Amino acid sequence: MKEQIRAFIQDGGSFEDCALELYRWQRSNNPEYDRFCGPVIARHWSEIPAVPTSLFRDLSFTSFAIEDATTVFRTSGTTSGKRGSIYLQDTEVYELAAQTHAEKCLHNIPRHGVSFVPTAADSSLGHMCRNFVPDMPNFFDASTGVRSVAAWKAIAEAAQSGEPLFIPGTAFALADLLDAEHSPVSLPPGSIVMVTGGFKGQRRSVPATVLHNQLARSLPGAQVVGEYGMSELSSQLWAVPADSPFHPPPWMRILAVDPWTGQPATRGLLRFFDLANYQTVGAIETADLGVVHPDGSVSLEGRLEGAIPRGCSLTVEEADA
Amino acid sequence: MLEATLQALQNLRAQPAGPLSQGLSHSNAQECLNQAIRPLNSSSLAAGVAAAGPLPDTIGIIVPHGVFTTPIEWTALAIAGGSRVHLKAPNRDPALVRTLSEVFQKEGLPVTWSNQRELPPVDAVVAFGSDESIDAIAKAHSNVPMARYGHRFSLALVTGDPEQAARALATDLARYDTRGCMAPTAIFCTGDGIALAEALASAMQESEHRWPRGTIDPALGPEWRRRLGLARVMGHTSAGAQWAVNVMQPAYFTPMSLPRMGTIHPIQDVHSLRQILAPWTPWLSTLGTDTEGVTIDGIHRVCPLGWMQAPPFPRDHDGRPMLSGLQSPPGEI
Repeated sequence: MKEQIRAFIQDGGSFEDCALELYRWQRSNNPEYDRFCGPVIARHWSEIPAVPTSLFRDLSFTSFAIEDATTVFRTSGTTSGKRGSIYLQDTEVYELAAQTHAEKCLHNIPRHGVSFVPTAADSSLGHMCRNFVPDMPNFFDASTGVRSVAAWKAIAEAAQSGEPLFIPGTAFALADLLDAEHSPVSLPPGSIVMVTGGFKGQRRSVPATVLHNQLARSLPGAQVVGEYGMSELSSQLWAVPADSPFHPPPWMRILAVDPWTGQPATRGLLRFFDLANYQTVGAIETADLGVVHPDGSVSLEGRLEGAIPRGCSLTVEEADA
Repeated sequence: MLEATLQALQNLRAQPAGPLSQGLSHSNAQECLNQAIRPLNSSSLAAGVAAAGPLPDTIGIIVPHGVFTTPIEWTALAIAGGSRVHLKAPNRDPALVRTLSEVFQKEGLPVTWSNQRELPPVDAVVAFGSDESIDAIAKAHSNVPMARYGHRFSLALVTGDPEQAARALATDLARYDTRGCMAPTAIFCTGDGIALAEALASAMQESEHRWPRGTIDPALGPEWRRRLGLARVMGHTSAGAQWAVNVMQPAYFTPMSLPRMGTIHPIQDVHSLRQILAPWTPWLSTLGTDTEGVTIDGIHRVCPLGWMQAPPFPRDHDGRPMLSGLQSPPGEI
């Protein structure tokens, strides 16, 4: 299956055929997923049962013997406090998928950069960025935040080389960077500022468009782009420029569903069908809301609001009315 | 005052309950409304007033969203005790609070309502809700005594005949569509969990015909699918169109109910249940059980299965008589 997926990423093919073959293969090789699917018979990629991302907190869903795992990506745990684990036997297809689609969307990934993403070994985001540009100096730490003064200095020094820069960062890290006193730093042509993630679990939030505009003003010369990914997915989506819809790679499809019924809807909870996820499960249901456009791209509309607490409770919304 | 209160309650009982119920089906809403009003009579109200002790002139009641009948007994008790009542309705659906106020006002009783956070001057506040939101209310009304009823959850324990237990459990799960702090979040059983699940599935199907499930908060969908998926992989599940019964190891106990979902956790004995619940002691409310004499730290009320969502009146709520202590100094009681 790995070779088939690799060939699809490199040469293309019928998504429908490959998705259904992957589904059958995963049911045979992934006992947890097989039990999860139960009696379902999928005749179209959109009917393939999607695993809620929250289930990775309890189950591993590997399509290989888990003792053969060489890499573990962990979710942030900001929603529930409990982190999910995604086990991979190897990262070859993950890296191929990430590189192939990023190059298609960004044309050229700069070879130098300054990083504002987590560096932990179990961060899929950190892994992807290190794969794009190895040895980037990093100025973000999840516990201590952004070292802003040093970061601005590093960006200015790197810009003087004249080589285009890759500056990946989570939205809240880049917002912290912008908060520090600084002068705009002109970046060489071809430079890219990559914004990913939202403000989930953070003390504050900055609207995406505001953040993108501030980045463009503070780092003139760079293109500000958006990246959407998660530990549970082996592929990413890119928004170029940042405020446009996110485009999936050819080996991924997205479906919006009604949050309660799970039936297809114009706007709703997003399910991703990612062929590069051959090592875990191909279909994932996220907690993100969005609209899928006719060309397959997606506009994000935030996260599904928390349900009414089921005890004797009223929500903060009620209290603040 | 007592006669007028009883008349207002009779008038409320005559109302179509569906539109007041925050999304329950008509038959379920009517059953819940009847059950909520049934225990309120002259002797029980008099007993409640006596147990509460002296009441302040004006009481503000912050009404939660979820269990639509919550304010009925508290309002009736306060009015029967001679207080005036102001109800702060839940924004999402103030219908019950509005109707409750109207039927009391029609009998000349001093009940007002609004859905504004700012209450008119009151001498005490009774608030239901999650700890965080009650904190916000407490801050805004720190100059008066306040009775806080925060988030709690309830459980069922079955040690006897599965068939008998199943019918009663299906009632507990159907009432209010499993909303509220007295709904069973989980069913612990010392016997055959699968046998209980099969019996409960049949009973759930029957109760679905009798009291169909109402509208559901769409945001519960992902958690519903997560629990079903987890049960399919790690346990056992059977599901109808609008209900589900799971059997899972106690390690997967989740203290949050879902509409018409019953999750059974087989356990060795009551002692092991005490161990499982030990970390949750501050948040426990009711234990519904077919077993005599069970005691568990933190459980305020033990009742027969089938009566979890139909608490007696008057009672100790979260360990103290309803409306008691409202003449205390300002601050949390």
